[in-house]
Amino acid sequence: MPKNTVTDLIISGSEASKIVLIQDSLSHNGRAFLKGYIEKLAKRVDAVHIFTLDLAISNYRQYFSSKRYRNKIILHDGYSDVAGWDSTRQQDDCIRWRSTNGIYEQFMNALKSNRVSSSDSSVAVVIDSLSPLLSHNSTNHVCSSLRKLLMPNDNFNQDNLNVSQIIALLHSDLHEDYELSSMKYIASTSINLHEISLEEKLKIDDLENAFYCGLCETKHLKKSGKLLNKKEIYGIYNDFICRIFEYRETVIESSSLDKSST
Amino acid sequence: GGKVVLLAFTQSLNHYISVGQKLGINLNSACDNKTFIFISGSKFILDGIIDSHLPNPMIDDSNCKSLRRLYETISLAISGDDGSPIPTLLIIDDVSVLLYLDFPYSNICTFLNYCQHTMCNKINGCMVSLVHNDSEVEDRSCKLLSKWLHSSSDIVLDLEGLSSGRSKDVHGQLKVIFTGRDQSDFHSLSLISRCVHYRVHDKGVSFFAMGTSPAIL
Repeated sequence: MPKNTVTDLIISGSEASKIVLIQDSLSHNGRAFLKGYIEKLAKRVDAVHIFTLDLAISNYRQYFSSKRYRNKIILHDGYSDVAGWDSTRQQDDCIRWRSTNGIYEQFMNALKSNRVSSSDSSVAVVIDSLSPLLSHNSTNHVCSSLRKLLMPNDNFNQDNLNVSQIIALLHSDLHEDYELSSMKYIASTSINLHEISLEEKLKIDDLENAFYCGLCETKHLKKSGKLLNKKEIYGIYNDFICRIFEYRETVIESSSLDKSST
Repeated sequence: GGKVVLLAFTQSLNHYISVGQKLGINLNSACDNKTFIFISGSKFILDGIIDSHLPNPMIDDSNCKSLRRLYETISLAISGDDGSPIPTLLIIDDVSVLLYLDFPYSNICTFLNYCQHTMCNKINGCMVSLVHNDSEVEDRSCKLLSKWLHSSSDIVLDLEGLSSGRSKDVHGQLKVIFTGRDQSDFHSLSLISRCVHYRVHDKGVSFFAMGTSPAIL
């Protein structure tokens, strides 16, 4: 039985984490990893609210329509009318990338008005992706809005709505270093995704059947204050099942010929 | 049964007509048939700046710089005569000019998002945009805009000169990147890229595998 990896503990919910930040790049797309995360997330919360800011909502509808847990998924549009320019829209329900109402109020209104059932007590918020909000608002505003979403609010406690976790995908190439640092600071878990070399991939037999794989550098701040920092490998399999493996770095040792020449 | 809408910021219609003639395309008749619509971005921007009696189309109601009117003009051009959208190709030449005109990077991203959503999701269309990303120029906004476009595109055509220097027979290198950005099909999750060399002729472009230029072979 493989040892539990840090990333797997986070994804499965065994290790609590309020804000999980998944960073990808142009050379390594993190959306498949995010989908793998949602697969496990849907099993342990009452509802998963997914805010779609990068792709049209129809992409997600199509994907989740075949899932057993589709009744737990609530999709929120953050792509089709991001600045209120579409005068033909009948409903004003698209999340604005920049709004006088602010991110927190928009998100909370969306959560309140789209509840799976009156008894759902634990909801998770998935943001795909956070990049448009971070590009159109100050870093302070984004950070404070995300923190506020997790805080108990008197109005919402009456409705028994509890945001237990926020998972946000962030494209690291689209932001300045200080923006990324600020986001990592407020996140209790930061998962940085990278490509892996063919050599690394061949070391793990189970990756042979993976459709997609990569390296995940996970930094997690436990409740005790201990900081875990681990490099692990992930693989995406059929139906976007995500599996995590231990990563053993290749150590290049100098040969005896090099030593004798010195 | 489709049409082409060209939003140009740096060249006039005559330039594209003469290029079209070299490629054997009659843009004049396409304009007459309304299968080719030319929107002069530079004229659009200058209107209202030169004539102070006209409202500036690049300033919104809250007196902030906005590309909304430009998007609405494109949206109108895309619609058919009866108001219904028809399959259309939107070409934007080139997006970097908006940065040079001091439009904030975030405003340009919003504008591109609307164009993309309209073309790709509302109608059965396609959008092609040109952006500059000069590695020698330290312009953060240009780099961010180029990366934004890369991240929101399904296919990226990355053109650059040869690393070995100028050549008479090979004018540059083209990298075609299939981003697979939605990662919806787990059978095709990986990014795919191919590199080819190209040479520009008077009446077209020829492509060949790297190192197989006719001059070498």
